[in-house]
Amino acid sequence: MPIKRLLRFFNRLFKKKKQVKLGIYGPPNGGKTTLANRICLDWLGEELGSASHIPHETRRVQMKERVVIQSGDGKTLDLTVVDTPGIATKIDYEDFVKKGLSKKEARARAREATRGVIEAIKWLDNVDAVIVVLDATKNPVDQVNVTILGNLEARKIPFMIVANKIDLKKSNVTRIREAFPNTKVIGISAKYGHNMDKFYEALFELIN
Amino acid sequence: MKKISIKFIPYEKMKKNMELVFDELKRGSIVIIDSKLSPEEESEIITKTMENVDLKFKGIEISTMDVSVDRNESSGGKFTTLIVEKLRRILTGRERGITIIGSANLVKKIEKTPEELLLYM
Ligand SMILES: Nc1nc2c(ncn2[C@@H]2O[C@H](COP(=O)(O)OP(=O)(O)OP(=O)(O)O)[C@@H](O)[C@H]2O)c(=O)[nH]1
Ligand SMILES: [Mg+2]
Repeated sequence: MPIKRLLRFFNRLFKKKKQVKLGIYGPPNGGKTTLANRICLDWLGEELGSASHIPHETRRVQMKERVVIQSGDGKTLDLTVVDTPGIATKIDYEDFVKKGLSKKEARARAREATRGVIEAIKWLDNVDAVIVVLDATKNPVDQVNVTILGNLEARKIPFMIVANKIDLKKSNVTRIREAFPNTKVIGISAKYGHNMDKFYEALFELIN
Repeated sequence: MKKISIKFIPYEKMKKNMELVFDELKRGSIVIIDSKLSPEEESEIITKTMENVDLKFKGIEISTMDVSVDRNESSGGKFTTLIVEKLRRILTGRERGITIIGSANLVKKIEKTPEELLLYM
């Protein structure tokens, strides 16, 4: 019925909340895609991309639209979850050979990974808010992390840090808090879903 | 004996042509720039690095260091120092400090403490 369609059109025009492009950034292998998958599974019922123990698994920006998340008190957020390639200052194809790839595969992966890094940096101009995913078992004082956070600050993009992999014994969330004392840090395990309620709470605070 | 060249590139020169940095890195030099870099400049360096990565050149290790303000410089204390610093930044458009860049082929890791930079080769 045309009237219904018209109504729907007006509804969309006036009531539609702005979609928020939520960028997921960080160094390679921190768990960005695992977290993006967790968010998309929780609220959309489908995954976004593939995760791997071999770094630079994600080599193109990939996203899911209309991921609508809801807070305890009924607020909603209409997200486009944007998973980005890990940002690095060096890429050595021989590292991929050591992880079991053939020389040819490793070289192709390295080539794609360099382009992925460039694409991730370009996408900083397109996102509305950012989650920086750090592997909590690693030393957070690293130039890549400093560069990512510095760029978010300079561009006035709201962001928070996720200290991921807290299920691992070696993880240390405090070390990340101490390294970046002015930024909200939430410890989670994206893989096992630990502390996700706290994560969503913080996300609502970040964006609203 | 192993020889390592440390190449000084003034900030202005680097700004005009970033490829200079990569020419030196590929030659095996460690590059020192007489300024900290802004976040935008840092991400630009990473982008340029990625454009330069190939089978031989594997990327960079980079770190910045503050050249700490001399405490006896002004007895007026922190506030005036901050203002002077801010003015200097507005006038010169750059941050006090240095940036050190090595090719990843040579430098495996740079560790940073407030007083020193440690280069692992
Ligand atoms: N133990 C543990 N492992 C995790 C967790 N999250 C991710 N991982 C593992 O870490 C590895 C990297 O995960 P990804 O999600 O692919 O990481 P990424 O940040 O997307 O990596 P790139 O796409 O390469 O930049 C995979 O082996 C994951 O299974 C976690 O919470 N706990
Ligand atoms: Mg990924």
